[in-house]
Amino acid sequence: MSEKDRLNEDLLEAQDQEDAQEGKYLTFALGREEYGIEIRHVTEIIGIQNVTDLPDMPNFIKGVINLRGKVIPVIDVRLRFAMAEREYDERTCIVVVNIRNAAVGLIVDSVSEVLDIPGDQIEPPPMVRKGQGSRYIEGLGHVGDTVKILLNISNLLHEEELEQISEAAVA
Amino acid sequence: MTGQDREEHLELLHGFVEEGLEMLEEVEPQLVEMEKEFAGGGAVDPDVVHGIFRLFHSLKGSAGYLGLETISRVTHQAETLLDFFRRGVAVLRSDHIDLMIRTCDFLRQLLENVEMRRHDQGFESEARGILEDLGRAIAAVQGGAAEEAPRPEVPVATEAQAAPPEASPEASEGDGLQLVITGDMVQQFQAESQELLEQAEEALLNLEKDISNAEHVGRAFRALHSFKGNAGLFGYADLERLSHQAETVLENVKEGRAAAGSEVFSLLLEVLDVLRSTLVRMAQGGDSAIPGLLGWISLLQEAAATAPVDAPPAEVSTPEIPAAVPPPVLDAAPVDALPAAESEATPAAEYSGPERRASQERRSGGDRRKDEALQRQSVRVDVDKLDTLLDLVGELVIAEAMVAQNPDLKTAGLSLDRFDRAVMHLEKISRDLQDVVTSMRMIPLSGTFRRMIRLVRDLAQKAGKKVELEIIGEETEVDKTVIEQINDPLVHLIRNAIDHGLETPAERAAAGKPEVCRVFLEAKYVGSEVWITIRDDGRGLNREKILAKARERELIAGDGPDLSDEQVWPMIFLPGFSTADRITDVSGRGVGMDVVKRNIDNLRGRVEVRSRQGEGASMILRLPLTLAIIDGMVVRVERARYIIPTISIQETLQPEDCYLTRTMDGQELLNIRGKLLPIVRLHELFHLGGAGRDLSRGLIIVVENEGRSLCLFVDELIGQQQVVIKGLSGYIGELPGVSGCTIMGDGEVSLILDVAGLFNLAQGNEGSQRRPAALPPPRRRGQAESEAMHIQIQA
Repeated sequence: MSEKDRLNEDLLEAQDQEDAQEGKYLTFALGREEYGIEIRHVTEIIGIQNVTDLPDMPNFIKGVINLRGKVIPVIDVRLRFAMAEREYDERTCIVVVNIRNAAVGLIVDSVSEVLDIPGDQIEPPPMVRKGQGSRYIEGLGHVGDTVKILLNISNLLHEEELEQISEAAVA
Repeated sequence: MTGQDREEHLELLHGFVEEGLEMLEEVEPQLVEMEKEFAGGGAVDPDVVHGIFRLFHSLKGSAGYLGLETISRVTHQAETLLDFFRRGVAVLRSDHIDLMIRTCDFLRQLLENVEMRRHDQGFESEARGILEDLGRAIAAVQGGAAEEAPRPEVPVATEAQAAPPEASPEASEGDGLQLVITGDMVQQFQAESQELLEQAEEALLNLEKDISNAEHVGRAFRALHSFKGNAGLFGYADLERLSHQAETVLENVKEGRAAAGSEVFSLLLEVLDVLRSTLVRMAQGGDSAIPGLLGWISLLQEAAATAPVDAPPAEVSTPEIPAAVPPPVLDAAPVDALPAAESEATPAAEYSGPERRASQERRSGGDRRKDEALQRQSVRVDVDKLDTLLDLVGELVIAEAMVAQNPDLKTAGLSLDRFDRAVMHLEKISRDLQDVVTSMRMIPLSGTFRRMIRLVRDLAQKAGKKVELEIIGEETEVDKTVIEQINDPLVHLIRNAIDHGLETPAERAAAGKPEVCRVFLEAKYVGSEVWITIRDDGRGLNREKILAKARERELIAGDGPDLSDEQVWPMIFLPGFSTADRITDVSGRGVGMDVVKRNIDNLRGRVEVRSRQGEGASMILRLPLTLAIIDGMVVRVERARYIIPTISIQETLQPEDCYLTRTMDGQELLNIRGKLLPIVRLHELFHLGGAGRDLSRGLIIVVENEGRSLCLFVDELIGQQQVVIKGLSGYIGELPGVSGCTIMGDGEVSLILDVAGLFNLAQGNEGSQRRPAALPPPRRRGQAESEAMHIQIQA
């Protein structure tokens, strides 16, 4: 059984317990760091598949895929964070999230696990840099000795790149 | 009976018969069951009694306003009898059940007769028998208190009066009334009321033109009267009072007791609007109170009293006395309480041969279609289910392509003859299925078109112009979505035509035209499209004004004298583009035409403008018949596949060098039969690589949009297929040059090209053209499938 199948099951199980969703995160890797998103946003995890290009889109919007008859856009999270592009391989996954009633796929290096991170283990985002990164960070979660960067999916998907899209449309 | 009357009631009758038979079907088994239980010494289920009571009550209500007297009387009597058992005043006996079953049988007979012949007469002796039996039973359960037992001859009261006596016992008992008026019934009331008000409005408008026409008065009166009755039945007091007062005015006009000036008609029309808006509010969950009711009523009372001769005040209340009100029957002539005399002479003949008679009528010419329409069986279906069905058919088309074009089939050495035949068969079936589903969602344009009658009248009056509207092809059916979207464009186009296009009587006289302007509103099928045309015989579009405006807004380079009319006319649809010298409250702000373009784009349609100076203009709205599935050409460009809507494709050809011209800025032009068309390389447009590819290694597809053509260069033509349009995610918004996407047979997503958008894109890329002032912000979800809304003007 592949990683993502196992995780899909974990996801289902965790989401079944409606009230217990709080504080549960799906973690995934980009390069050396681990990131987490709240599981209530996550619909499922699928393997990488053929992506249809869309013309005149910001580079991180890779295109659209067919998810069982529904056409959904996919975003390369690496490119979203202006990290170096990386060849997709068999560990590359698309995490399907549902934000504001729209399904969007997030391309990540690999998915890891579903984790419980209690609120008292989460630090607020760093205030050091006013730059790009921190708007997307919801907080930093301590799990044992490791730190997971917890993402604000809504900011990740919307805000800025909406402007970009309209700019692209006008340009 | 006039043909017009028949047509008006046709739909109502049809629905009534259907509903009635349905209810009988429901009740009869219950009665039979009850009888069995009775025989076994069991008790009576009060729910069943309620059920039967409801049946008779609803039938009575509908029959009353449809003028089906016999049904109305029988059901009233049966209802009266049942009420005793329902209230527990009397005990149900088996002979009562027997009587009920006989009543049901008779009602079925009557309903079937209505379906055949649109009336319920010719059963007078049977009716009398049943009524007498019912009367006797009533008298018996009342213990001989005969004064309350209505005699069969007493004509049934209208619903308005029938309601209160029923309401009171129920209210005291606390379990009846809610059961009687169901949500379904309220919905039905809404639908019927809208229809009735529309009828009344149409009749009023006709009446205004031809004041002496008694038929129009009668129709308006009947429609209002029925509306009043319905409102009364449902206990909507304000609606009832207002419509009652309007009815009184009409009555007085009819009788020549009140002045019939245009103010009266304007007032009545306004009252109709008030009623209508109240209905709309109720449909949205509001209450039935009419703000300013007393004001309206006093206005109406004034109107009713502006008598050319003295109007005795007592007459004002005449319609309240049911006997004085001609029941709203199909026949224009009032029907006596017992019109038995002539019918009874031949009841047997009529009864034995309804079918023969119906077929005779069918053969007899003009009525043929209507009769068939009446006899058509139908089922009411939730719109959501239809939408789901349409979606499923879309999925089916995709799945079919997945099978037919399955990559596994490419395995060498397979013999696929039989498979191909089976696929062809499957394709045929799914195409048929698509047609059926599409047709299920079709609604005639008549309702939308008829609303324009009123609009034209009001606008013409305001503008001081004389306008006659002629409606052609209102029976043309279009998809439900089209009906929803087409109203606003029509309103704007008609406003525009009347306000700007048409001349005043004086101007027309000077131009040697007839004083009365004519506006045509026409719908027809052309190929796989519906064309809705708004044509007027006014002054036509002013080319110079449009060009001046375009120059002012820097939309064109130079003076633009070399632009063809086909290129000039579409400019009026640009946002904010109004050539009106002054802004009236009707039009001139330059918003309307933009709305037209946008809505038509949403429907994947196109607007064509034709105009001749001094002779008038036509706006043709060309809409596709289906909205979800299109015929498309699949092309390959590098590794990507795109769909080009077949409707936009003029031809495909292999380009030859000798017909090629290359300008110094790199634009390639292809000479096709003397016309130089720009070539757009999709490779470059969509940044796919393959730049500078030799044109002989690919294909040219000539596409057309709004009178302009261009050549698309692609690598390969894969084939033609039906594609199901899917919107790009709302997240993506609008993509220039792309109208949506579809899922191909192999499960991959392909983009559907938006030809109008490609024109824009191509010109934008050339950098030789200014783009329109502003592109719209990313679109809402679900709109992405529409074509780009902007028109670029080609110099």
